[in-house]
Amino acid sequence: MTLGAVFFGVMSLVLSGGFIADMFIQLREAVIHSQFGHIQINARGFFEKGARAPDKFMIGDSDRLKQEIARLRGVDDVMARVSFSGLLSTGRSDRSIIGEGIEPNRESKLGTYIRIESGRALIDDDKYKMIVGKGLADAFKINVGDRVSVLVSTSGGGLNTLDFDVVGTFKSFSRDYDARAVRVPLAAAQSLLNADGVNTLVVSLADSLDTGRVAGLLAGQLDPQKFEIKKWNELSDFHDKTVALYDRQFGILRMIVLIMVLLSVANSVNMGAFERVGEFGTMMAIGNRRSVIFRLVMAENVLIGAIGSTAGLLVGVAVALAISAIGIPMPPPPSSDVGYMAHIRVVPSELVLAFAIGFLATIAAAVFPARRVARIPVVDALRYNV
Amino acid sequence: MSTDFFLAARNIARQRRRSAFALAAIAFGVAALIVANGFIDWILFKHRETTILSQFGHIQVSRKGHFEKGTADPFAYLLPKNSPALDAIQGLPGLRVVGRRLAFSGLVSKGDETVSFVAEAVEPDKEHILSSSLRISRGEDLAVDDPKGIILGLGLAANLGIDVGDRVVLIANTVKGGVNAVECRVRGLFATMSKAYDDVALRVPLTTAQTLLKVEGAHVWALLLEDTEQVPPTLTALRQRFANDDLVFTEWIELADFHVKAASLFAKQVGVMRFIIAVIIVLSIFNTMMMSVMERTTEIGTSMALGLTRRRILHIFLVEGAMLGAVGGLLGLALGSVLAWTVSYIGIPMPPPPGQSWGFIGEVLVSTRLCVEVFFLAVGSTLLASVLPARKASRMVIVDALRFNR
Repeated sequence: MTLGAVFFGVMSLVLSGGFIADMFIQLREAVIHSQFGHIQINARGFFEKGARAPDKFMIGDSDRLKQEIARLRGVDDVMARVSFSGLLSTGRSDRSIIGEGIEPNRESKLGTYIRIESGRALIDDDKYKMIVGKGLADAFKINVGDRVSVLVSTSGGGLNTLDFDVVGTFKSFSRDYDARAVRVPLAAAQSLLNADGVNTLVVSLADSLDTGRVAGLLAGQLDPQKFEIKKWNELSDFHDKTVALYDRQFGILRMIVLIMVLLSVANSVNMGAFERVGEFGTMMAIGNRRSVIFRLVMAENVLIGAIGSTAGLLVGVAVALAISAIGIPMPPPPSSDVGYMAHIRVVPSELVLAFAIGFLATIAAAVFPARRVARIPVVDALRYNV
Repeated sequence: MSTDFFLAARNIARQRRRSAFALAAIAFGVAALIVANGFIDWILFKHRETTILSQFGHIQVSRKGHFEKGTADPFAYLLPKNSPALDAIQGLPGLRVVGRRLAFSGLVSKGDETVSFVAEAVEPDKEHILSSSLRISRGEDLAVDDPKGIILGLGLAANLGIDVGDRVVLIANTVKGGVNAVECRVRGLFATMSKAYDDVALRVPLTTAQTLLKVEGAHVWALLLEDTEQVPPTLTALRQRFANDDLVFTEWIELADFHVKAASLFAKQVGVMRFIIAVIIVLSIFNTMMMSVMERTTEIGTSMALGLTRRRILHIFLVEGAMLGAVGGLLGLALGSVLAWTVSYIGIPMPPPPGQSWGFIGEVLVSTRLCVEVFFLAVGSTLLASVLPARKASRMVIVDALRFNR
């Protein structure tokens, strides 16, 4: 029975710890893959002041830089984005918009915060095609298949205009953004701006934990006067703040789990010892010393703690793997519309912690009852329970 | 029947240590469930209230079509300055504040630099309550006594190279198609959760915007009630009363897409933890109860040897379990409430949520429904855990039961 308490306690610690660890990993990957990529390289000043005149903050010679970065170890892919702002004209009315030129296939490989509402997404073969924000499309009654023209002022001071076919509408994380945003292929944006540079290089890595190392490497290679390098968690404080908040909220729940495990182990160790006072009385009556009884109870509980914790650990890991194989369906996070499957991670540090808690709690809980039962006078002990 | 009750009560009183252990397991379990669930409920409650208070208000009133087509033709969906509907709304029982809001866009310039903006015009005194969690990163918020003072999104200010105290000119189309300009002073800079929005947004006092656009009305009336529970009845009443008018009443939940999704995700995540906690507690009650009943196999054998039927024995153990469960559950409720109260009184400091710069103090919310649920969970598992081993023991051959454990 004590074995059961230790066993279930350790198991629940393994499961709850693994679940929380998974939550943080999922959150991190969602942020990276929905919006930012792992690392963004901009021309210096673009991040702060680029929204108004993006063509002033261009990275020239981007192809060579791209190849250089792509050769680094751990880098999965590099893609370019160009931002522009201008006027969109439907023939009936004009509207100021912000636009992004992207490499469609690479964007969709990284995963994107943009969800297609009607029509289709951009693909690499598209030339002068465009997808527009849902809010913008609704407000100006732009439908899939319409032809619109975009007017921008180029860095040379001239005006440039191009016609685009609308192939789809999208929704993103923010209504305000959707009401004024469009996306076009990279080449079209460059010819619109009459420039061949790009504003942002988005680097995606094979492993998120590599971000710090690769960012350090890039910082050493690139001229800090010309480029600024932002890691994904520096681009928005959303992730760090959410983690801090979740950490506190779930920390409290884990503490409650921990206390319950401790109490339930202590409870059954206590009961187990006192139920056997009659037996200990008999042992003392035939000449065993009190210290022998104490050592016996302690030794038994060390064994129970070790066996129970090990079993709990093994079964906990097995259950975690089984649940992960099936997955716990979760509703979509705020910035997307697609739910995901939660898993239970097997985290070594959590396993050690769970085992240590199960084992030590059993031993600690045994000290007090072991001393008490060993001190009961032999006669009282003998007639106990009868 | 009453004998059974008497016997069960005597049993509990005689087996002091066992009863104490069982009671402790039940009481601590119930208390832990109450604190854990109360804490979760509080977080969800707080999240809801913050969303309402920081952005949307409880109910938004607008002209039909404003949300769908308002961006393209803002002047077509203005609410009148005075109307019987506004008077009626202001007279609503349980109304805390109603703020008028007007959305427009135009150009903002400082020296040679000119940039386009989208703006929300608000009533400063009302918005102190209605959007209390708007984060002012530098300077001050809008004020009633400074109608020409405006606040800018961080990104917009950076684009223009503006700091607090600078003067800027706002240019916009008026309702009649002309162009009008007004000079304003920058009182402060703000940041929201979306950088894309901060790059283009600014907020101005309503009176200034009305002068600039030469209009009298607003686009939206945002209503804040005293209590979120009052929203559905108020909404129904308003919709019935103004069914013939050209008005739309939108509940906050339809606007707060982010909140709804974040809350449902959090509820699911925390649901897994809730489940784990409930399982541990049920198991620990089971463990303790089964141990203490199994230890009494000899006693059950003795009773049967004296001629008690199995039915009677099961009955006595059932009553014992019910009594222990009820007493332990009540003790747990008391303990849990005291704990919850203490925790709420001290407060759990929480870090600021995304998009806000202030942390908040966590509390535990104990509701009647929660107490009832937890109580029945505890009593149910106690009953089951005491009957199962008793059933097994009473099925044994009497002699075996008598020498069990010897």
